Amino acid sequence: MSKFNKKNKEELPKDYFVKFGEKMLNKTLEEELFDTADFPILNAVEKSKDFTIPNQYFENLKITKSNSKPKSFSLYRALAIAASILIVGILFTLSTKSDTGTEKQEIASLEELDYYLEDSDALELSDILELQELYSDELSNEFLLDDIDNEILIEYLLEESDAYDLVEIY
Amino acid sequence: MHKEDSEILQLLRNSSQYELGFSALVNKYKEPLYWHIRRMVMIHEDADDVLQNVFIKVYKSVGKFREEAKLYTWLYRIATNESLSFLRKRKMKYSNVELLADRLTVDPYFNGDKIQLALKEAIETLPPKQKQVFVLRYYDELGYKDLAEILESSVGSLKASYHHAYKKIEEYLTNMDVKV
Repeated sequence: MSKFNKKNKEELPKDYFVKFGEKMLNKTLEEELFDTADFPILNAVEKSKDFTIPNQYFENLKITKSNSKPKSFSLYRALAIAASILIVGILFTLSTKSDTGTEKQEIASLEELDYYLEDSDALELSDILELQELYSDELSNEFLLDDIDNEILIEYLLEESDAYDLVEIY
Repeated sequence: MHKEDSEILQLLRNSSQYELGFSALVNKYKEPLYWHIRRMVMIHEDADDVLQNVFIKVYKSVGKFREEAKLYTWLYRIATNESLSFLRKRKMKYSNVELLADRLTVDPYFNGDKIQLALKEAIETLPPKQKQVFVLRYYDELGYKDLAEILESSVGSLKASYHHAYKKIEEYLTNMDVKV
């Protein structure tokens, strides 16, 4: 038995086991996560011969390199870039400042609005709806207008407002 | 006979031989890059435009190329990014798959049959990452190691993307009632 093993070792190619390990690693690396046989339609499609090219396309292919020389760094170029950055920076600062002014104005007017709203003793919509529900019967037109004489009503309107067209109301 | 990448890079590093090096690079890679771009953008004229842009980018920036990566993976990366950027712009003009199919059917440089046309449509529906993985693996037959370098992603995530792309395409073809 020991004789058999020795003989086999001598017959192995050089670095067989090292190369075997690498080969196995590469095989695993390149192995798909799936079996392509599970995709019969895609497997049946012929890969080539679908796209063609004009005659002599590759032979006549010219790369137009106009204005595409590798860029070299010059002092002039650096100064131009620095100047552009400076101008953009100044413009940005100025625009930010003016924007802040407008925002402040807007905020001030919003604050004013809030102040007026808080100060107002006007009823909330919910309150109005609640009252309307409570006194719905009493607030009917019939109740309000039943016992009021037309003349009194006109007099009242004349006193309170000049916006009504009396002819129309009459 | 094409020059070795190391030879091309050596020429490119020498300013007096830069043009010679660039021309060697174009000669070696124009075909594989063209086909990669063509699979991504589908239309010949579009592929020609993108290929021009790729080589102009390479011309301008090959001096910055670090030899930590392989030259061809670096070139494929530029080609992939340029194709995706082109597709983003095209998507604004042609927003759906049908329009691309219409263009392909009248394209004199498309010889595909119904199944191949449906496959192109299916590829067009894929999200950008799955599309680039699918094209590089299925058509260009690149290994996951190279794919990981080109797309700067992990092998595991690329394998998952390829699987998803494969499944979506098969589903699309099944729904289209494609007979093989």
